[in-house]
Amino acid sequence: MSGIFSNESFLILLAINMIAAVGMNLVYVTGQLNLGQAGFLAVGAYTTAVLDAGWDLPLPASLAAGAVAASLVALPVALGANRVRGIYLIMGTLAVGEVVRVAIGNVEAVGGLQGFSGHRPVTLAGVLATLAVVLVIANLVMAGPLGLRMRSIFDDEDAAASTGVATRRVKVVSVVISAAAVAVAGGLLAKFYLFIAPRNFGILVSFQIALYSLIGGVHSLLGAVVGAFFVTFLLELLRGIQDIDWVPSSLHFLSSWRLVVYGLLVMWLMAVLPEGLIGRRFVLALQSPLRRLRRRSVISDVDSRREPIASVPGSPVLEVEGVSHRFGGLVALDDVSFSVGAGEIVALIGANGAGKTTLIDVVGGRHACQQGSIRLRGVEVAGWRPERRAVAGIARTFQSVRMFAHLTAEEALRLGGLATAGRPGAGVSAILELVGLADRPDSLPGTLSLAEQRRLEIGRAFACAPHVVFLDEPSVGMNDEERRELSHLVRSLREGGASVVLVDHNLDLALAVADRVVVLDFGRVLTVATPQEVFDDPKVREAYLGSREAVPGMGKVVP
Amino acid sequence: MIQVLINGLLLGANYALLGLGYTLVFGVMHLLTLAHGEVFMAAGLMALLLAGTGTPIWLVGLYALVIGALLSALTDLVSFRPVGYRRPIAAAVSTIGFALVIQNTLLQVRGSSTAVAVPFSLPRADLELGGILISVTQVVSLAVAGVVLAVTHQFVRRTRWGMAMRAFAHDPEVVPLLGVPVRRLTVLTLLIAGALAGIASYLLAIRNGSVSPFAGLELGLKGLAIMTIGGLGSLPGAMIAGIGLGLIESLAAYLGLTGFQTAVPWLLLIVVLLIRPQGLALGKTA
Repeated sequence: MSGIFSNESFLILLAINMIAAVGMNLVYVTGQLNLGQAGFLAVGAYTTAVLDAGWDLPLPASLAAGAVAASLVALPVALGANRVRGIYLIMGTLAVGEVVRVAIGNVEAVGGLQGFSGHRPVTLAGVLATLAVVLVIANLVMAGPLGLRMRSIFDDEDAAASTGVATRRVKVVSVVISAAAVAVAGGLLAKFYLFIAPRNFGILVSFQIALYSLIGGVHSLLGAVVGAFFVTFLLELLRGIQDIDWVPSSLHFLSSWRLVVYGLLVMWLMAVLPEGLIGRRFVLALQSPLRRLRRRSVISDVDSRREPIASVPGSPVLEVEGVSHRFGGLVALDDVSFSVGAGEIVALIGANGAGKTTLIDVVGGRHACQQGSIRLRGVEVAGWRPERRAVAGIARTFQSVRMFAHLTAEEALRLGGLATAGRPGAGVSAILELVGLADRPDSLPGTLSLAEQRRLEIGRAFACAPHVVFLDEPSVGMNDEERRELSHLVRSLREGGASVVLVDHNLDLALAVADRVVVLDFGRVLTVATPQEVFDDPKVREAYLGSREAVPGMGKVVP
Repeated sequence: MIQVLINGLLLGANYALLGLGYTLVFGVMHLLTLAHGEVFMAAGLMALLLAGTGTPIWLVGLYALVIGALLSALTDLVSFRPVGYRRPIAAAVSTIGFALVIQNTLLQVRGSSTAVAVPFSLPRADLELGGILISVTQVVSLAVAGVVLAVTHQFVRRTRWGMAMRAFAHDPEVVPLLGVPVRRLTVLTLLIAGALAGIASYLLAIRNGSVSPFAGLELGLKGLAIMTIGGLGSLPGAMIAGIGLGLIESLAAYLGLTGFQTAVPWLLLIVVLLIRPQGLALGKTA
């Protein structure tokens, strides 16, 4: 077995595969499963080989040229990929990879289907140095703000946008840098083979690169490296199994059956470790001593490049004017107007189907604003994308709590902190304290109770240092004790400088904390009043409770 | 020219059968079976291996159908079920593993990687229709494909099991609560998909004269492209996309664009995705 590791060809191939795997993780970490990486591998390989045939360039120059070429090819692909999701995206990338390969096969200048001969081989040292450089750069990306944004998209694109992540741009960037990394692997491959042909870059190669990532685990670079090592090593080991002394000759047949063994192993691994060999929890456990150290030094990283957004002095925090919204023939919102003042808590109530969540979706930008005007501190935001509104200061939570399944509590709050646009935010540790997770900053949402998840989601919205926060039914599924904590939390948001719009079915809670109440009924604003006036209004009772009679016990205020 | 169209139609009917299998599985279970191409190949290849010179032509077709159905059902048992239906990516990856197992077991057991030729001679009679010669084999193949497509479509639309499949596609949580045996439902879906692949594989073998053990990948991917072009889960969409692809491929060959022929489904897919990101989606059936 030790023979494998003194085999220079094997080590070169292993390092090349690791680079390709890192490239794969850089794009799949945003949830975009790119099955066309062989196309970018080919662009890198041919660029490097063609340059090598004409000039005697140093290794970094010829590899970088391949990376640039692949990025240029990847850019339109990434823009197109932005239009599609899920399986359409997978199929689209598969198609692109195949089209690139066929296109190269039709270019006679690079040998067409016959292939092309490179001239400058690479040493093991050169390959290992390249691997090291790629790993360092990839780690800088993944550990920084961009990596956090990329990972948030993997878990929930809508929630990421509402936390200020420019999802489209981040996805495009990740496709491009991934293509560049894969192209570097391609350039090395050209130098290693010294002769390349389109058949070296078929769909199976794309599958193989994707398998490194899927088997190793997408949530860390370690996963990519381990996945590439596992697959490459296993196949090489089985190929040469007859040369290993301690393996009985009865097992030598495995050499020719190695792809069957590999296939069975893939099936078994997916059944027992569907997230890959290196799961998120494993990485967290591995990093925990390091994280504790770092937490002491860095409290929160603020993205200082973002400019604060201008405001018109003297305007209310939020003005919604004449907003209507239709789903086909259904009028969900009909000429809705209301405003939210600085430091105000507004309760938004109404029966099921009154349009409360639709209103949040329109103001938050999840639904395009079809008609009407939405002004944040006097600035019209109706045409903006959700992430721009989040950065400008409109934050929200979701009716069905939406967590980033692979982001720790602290990371989710840090992500929010990236969207503050220079506004003074509360800071990650203060918010952890506020939502009651100070002792468990590294917990993943799956380990939190529903009430804790809701509080974390509110904290995430608050971490954006918003001017106004929309809370969509935060008390659903909470017991009395948890509801009391929630009303404290809502008041703390106001003390932290945010106005709050609270949608809740629990009238006691909503009316106890609210300064003003907006009652929605069939998409229209029925009344804007104080909590007490709402209690006394028979029209509201009918719309909300289906009865003109006063309800005994209603109006009791939660302490 | 007419001959080109008929060729394309026949090829397209086979593609439609193949794409329909993917569409059924994805439409009902929201899972991708990347082993389907190898199931397709193995069904045709093993049927030809089992056939002797004296075996009736229809019986070999039945072999292909049964082998395809069984291998496909096995995908559910060894890949989807152990991984779980709620992990689409891991399930798809597992089927890649199963594809490797099918193809390489076949290669190792047979001990040869050459193509298997159709062991019997086909009727050479030609029909003359308005001055155009069409072989009886082509007519029969086209008829078989057409009937199978129609039967599958009616099965999904009209029968109780078909209804259960469509219900499962909409809400996999509720259907078991209604007393539908879900395990049988998923196996049945894959059985049908595999049977379609078996028939298509056999028809294609007759058309080409042989089956290569390496044909699974390319055909499997074409089936995926057809499903996506047709709009995921739309049976009529897959049929139209399949037939359209067959026609365009034979036209491309006729016009001498052989260098780009393998890229045709992919170019088509990219164009469709850019114009209509949700595929053609002609009425959701499954």
